[in-house]
Amino acid sequence: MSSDQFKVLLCDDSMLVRKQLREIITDAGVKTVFEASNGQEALLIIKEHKPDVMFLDIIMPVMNGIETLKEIRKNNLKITVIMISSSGTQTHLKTALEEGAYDFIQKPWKETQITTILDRIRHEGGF
Amino acid sequence: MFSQYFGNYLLNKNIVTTEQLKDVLNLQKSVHVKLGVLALNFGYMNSEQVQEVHQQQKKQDKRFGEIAVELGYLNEQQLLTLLSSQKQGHLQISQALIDKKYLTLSELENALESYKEDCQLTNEQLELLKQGNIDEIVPAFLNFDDPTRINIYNDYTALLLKNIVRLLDESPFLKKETLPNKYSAEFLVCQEVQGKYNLFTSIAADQKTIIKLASKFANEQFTELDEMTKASISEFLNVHNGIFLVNMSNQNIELQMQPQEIYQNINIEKSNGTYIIPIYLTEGKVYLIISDKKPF
Repeated sequence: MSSDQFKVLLCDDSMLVRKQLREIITDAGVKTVFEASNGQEALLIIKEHKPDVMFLDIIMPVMNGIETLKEIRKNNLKITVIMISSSGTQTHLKTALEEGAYDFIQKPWKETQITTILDRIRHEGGF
Repeated sequence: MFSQYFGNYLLNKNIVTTEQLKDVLNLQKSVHVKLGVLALNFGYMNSEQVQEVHQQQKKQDKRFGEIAVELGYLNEQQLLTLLSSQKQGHLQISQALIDKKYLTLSELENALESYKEDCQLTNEQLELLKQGNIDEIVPAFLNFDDPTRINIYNDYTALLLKNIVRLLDESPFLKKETLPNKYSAEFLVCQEVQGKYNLFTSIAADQKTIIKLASKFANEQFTELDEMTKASISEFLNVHNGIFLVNMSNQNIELQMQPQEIYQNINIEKSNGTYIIPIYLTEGKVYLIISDKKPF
């Protein structure tokens, strides 16, 4: 798969976070970026557009990140999920990793954390 | 940090003007703190003794410390303490005030003494303040009267002060004052924390201050209270509370938090278990409202 086909979904209820992540990710060469403000919106986008990677917040209205992760697993949806949350408690870390999250980034993040993890996933996936 | 606290006190007491305070705060970074000012700050010597040593220095080629010890104003241990403190930055406001001739040694001595008295600080607390120990400063300035929550509220407030420094690049400080009974917030963002402790946390301020803080957090220049500005200040509270939850989790106390909510033009009244805490910034102030339940 070429890098042009690599698609990323940002799921966070903060429009500031989505904007900042979008800037980092597009600067890193990703051409297709989707946005969702809660888990329910994210699941619709995953089913319709099949993004390769999702950055997923935990504390969100309507459907939170942990519930979203469980739905992804339950429905066997193929997507690499990176949790990105301020709430990196032991419970959240443990649950997220048990539910199949690829990694966990604690807010406030550094730009290099995002680009490093993105590079690693692209490398592993052959993008 | 001591500079913010002591500088603000001098301003409120009309001991210095706003311009003079700005001047010394700018100057203090390059100031070399002299032993005489240090000795005053530590309470080892009074201003007359310092002046006498200065006079003696004009007559004999000796260092301040040597003369002070010879005259019996300092002992060797006190001199060592002063010398080891000389390189620390927290006393530079005092030296800058002297260098700029905004205060005499005697006026500085009186101001330090009245600051300690007015703020009801013990020598130990004053020392902690000079060292910038935020965790210890909060209990010295705030009196949470709910015995079951004193520790958690102190910890929460101290962390917020640290995060205001860390994430907003501001220099916050508290005042020793009676907390307000009510506050009409132009803007308020709140977030509920649940678990072993239920905390209802809010940050409130006028629009101008919110725009300024949101700009600093996002590292962008916002000019109005639009959706992005609201998202920024809201995310600040979220990140701060997240760090608080992680700290608690590291103590094996697992808490959860809810999404933030935003309110505009809302009145808060102090009731049992609700604290409205003004946090002063270089320009403006922000209010931390902390409670065991939603206070509005």
